[in-house]
Amino acid sequence: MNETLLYQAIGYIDDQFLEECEAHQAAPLPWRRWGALAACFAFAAGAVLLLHGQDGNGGLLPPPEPSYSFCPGEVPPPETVPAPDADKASGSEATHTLTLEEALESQPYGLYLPARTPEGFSPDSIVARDGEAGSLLAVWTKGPGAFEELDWQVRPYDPEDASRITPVSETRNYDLGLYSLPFSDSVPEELWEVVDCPIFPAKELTQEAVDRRIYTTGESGEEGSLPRARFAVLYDKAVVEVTAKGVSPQWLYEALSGLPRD
Amino acid sequence: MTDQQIIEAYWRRDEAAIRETAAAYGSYCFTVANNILGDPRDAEECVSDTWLGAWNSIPPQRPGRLGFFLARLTRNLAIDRWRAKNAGKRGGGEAPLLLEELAQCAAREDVESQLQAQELGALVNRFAASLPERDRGLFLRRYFYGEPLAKAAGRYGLTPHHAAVILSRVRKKLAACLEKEELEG
Repeated sequence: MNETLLYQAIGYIDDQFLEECEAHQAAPLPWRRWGALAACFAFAAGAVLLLHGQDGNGGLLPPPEPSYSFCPGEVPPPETVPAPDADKASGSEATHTLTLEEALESQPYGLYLPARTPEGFSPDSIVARDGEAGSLLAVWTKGPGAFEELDWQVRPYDPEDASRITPVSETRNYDLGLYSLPFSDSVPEELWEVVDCPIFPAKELTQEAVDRRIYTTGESGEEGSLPRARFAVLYDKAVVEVTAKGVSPQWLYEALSGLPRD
Repeated sequence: MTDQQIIEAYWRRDEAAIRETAAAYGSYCFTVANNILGDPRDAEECVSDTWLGAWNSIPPQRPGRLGFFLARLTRNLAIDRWRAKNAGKRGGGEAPLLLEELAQCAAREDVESQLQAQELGALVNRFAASLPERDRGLFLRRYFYGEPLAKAAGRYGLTPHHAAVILSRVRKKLAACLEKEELEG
């Protein structure tokens, strides 16, 4: 088999490259970059989740794993995923589930939840995480098994966000109409992070900018035709990161431009 | 024992070599095998086969880096074990995905007929040298060590999605490199 021959050939890689690889220090995992949906699953369960496999096509992402060096003789840690409140980077923070009413009233992030629910949607789960790296994660769906989904994450600004903040004038950073599917091929690598999830300053957000974030997968079937969007908005005291499937861009803009609620 | 002392023990045909190898590299080789096979029992057997393979190949070989030598043995044994066990089926572990992904690079029949693994290995090394360190590291974490994508991505502070994009581009570059090598004979 051709691929097996190539697999064997990779075994002949020079030791220097393997040394370089093993010497690389694992980077801290930016858990906030994980899809809001993945984080929501981790929080909603309120326990250790074990997600196997991987997704190379931008689908559901597993929660963060502990980072460790891969050195000969070192016993690797168990192949399990820590509970979200065991996140080493942010210390120990508790998480708790809220009703929508409680979430809307919660401090400090309740003011950044939308006042209205998209038509046909209902709250699926809302989880608050306390502490310095606290956040609020809310998910709305159209019911069990429905494809439509709205993930709404409110969190503090992180210095790592800086590279994804884009003025609305820089359309190449966020206008998906400039690129063709698959985006992995058409988006220049230096723009991948920002195009993947741009952060708009709240005062610059326009309906047109939101419209330019809408795309469909082009796949056949009901799910393939649903409008999708992923982007964030930077307010004075919070970042709201939205991942939507089957939500109109008009609703998204109205909800975001009205924040923080009075 | 140091690696050098272990290798000398192999050369003396001292069975302590296997004991010391297992102590130093048992977890390491198990991780590589389990990445590929996804079954701890199969991985344990693969590791045992690795010690036998090391015993049978040292001497005449005298590895520069014993750990890498063992990793190579392990990954080859693992993929052979997986193929024997799962011919025509998709099993656990990363093996089916690794081979499926690499098939994108080695699509041409001519590659198999005209380039042997060792010659192909020289090309892979030239290719790897041309990559930025991050891309090279991701490529090796995925296709040498057989790590799941999410784990490999996390080592470089990347989301799995971003890592998948990088690897997709690396595979395309490798495919182009292989095709160019084939055309130039």
